[in-house]
Amino acid sequence: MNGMDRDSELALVGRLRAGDPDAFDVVHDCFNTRLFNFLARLSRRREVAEDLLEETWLRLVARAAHLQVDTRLGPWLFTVARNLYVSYRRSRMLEDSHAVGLIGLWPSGSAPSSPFDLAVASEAGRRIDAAMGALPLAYREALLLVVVEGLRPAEAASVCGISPEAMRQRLSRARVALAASLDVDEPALAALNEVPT
Amino acid sequence: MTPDDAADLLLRSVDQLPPLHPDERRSAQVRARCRAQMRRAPKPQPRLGPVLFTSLCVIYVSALVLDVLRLRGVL
Repeated sequence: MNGMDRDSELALVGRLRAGDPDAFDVVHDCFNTRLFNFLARLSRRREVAEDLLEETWLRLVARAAHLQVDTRLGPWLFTVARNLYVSYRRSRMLEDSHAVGLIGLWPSGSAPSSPFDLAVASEAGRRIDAAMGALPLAYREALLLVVVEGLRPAEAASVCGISPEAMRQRLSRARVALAASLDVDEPALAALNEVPT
Repeated sequence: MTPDDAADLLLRSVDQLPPLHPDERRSAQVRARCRAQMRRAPKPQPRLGPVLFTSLCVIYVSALVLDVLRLRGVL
């Protein structure tokens, strides 16, 4: 868990199991924005991300008493969020391609200093975001979990229900697909295959 | 720019996408709702089932032993 050592995390899990609402607040502060980012960039729809985020927190409350004592909260929460999105997607038969570029995902964040910076940052960001959105779901979630959220590949593999080796391959392919989508030149594309995971 | 630089830059650009923020009002509502549910949720109780089952077994076996001893005239 970012910004918290393992002992503190275990203590927090213990308090959650005992039904301590203050422990819930700590976890909420740590993960609310991160989970929203993950869900928003996975679903490409702000309102869907908000709904799934709420459901993720309700699941935590419903299952808090039954958490294993050694639960890792980050992977647990991302697994729940990811599974909720997969269920949602199945139920709606939502195609990724329909959603690309639809949303006003772009807001907030740290404000660039000048109108020019704003335009450049916004343009670059939109381009990367659009490229991410055009990736197949499996690649997108791999990049989001490992590169953006900083989960270890083994943890991300567990979130996605695949083996660590499969996750490494998925990451490698995701990078190549993203580079191709962003029109990175050929030598750089070759180098992407060599980036360690 | 070397190929490694380009690859590095690409990953950093993904990592540095500006954070998206959930609606604050809704987040506060969800947090309050979850807190309320946690307060209402029954606190985990010591599990009585296994204790009860073991006690019944002990009573049954004791009664059985007493009966056997009585039949054999020991008691």
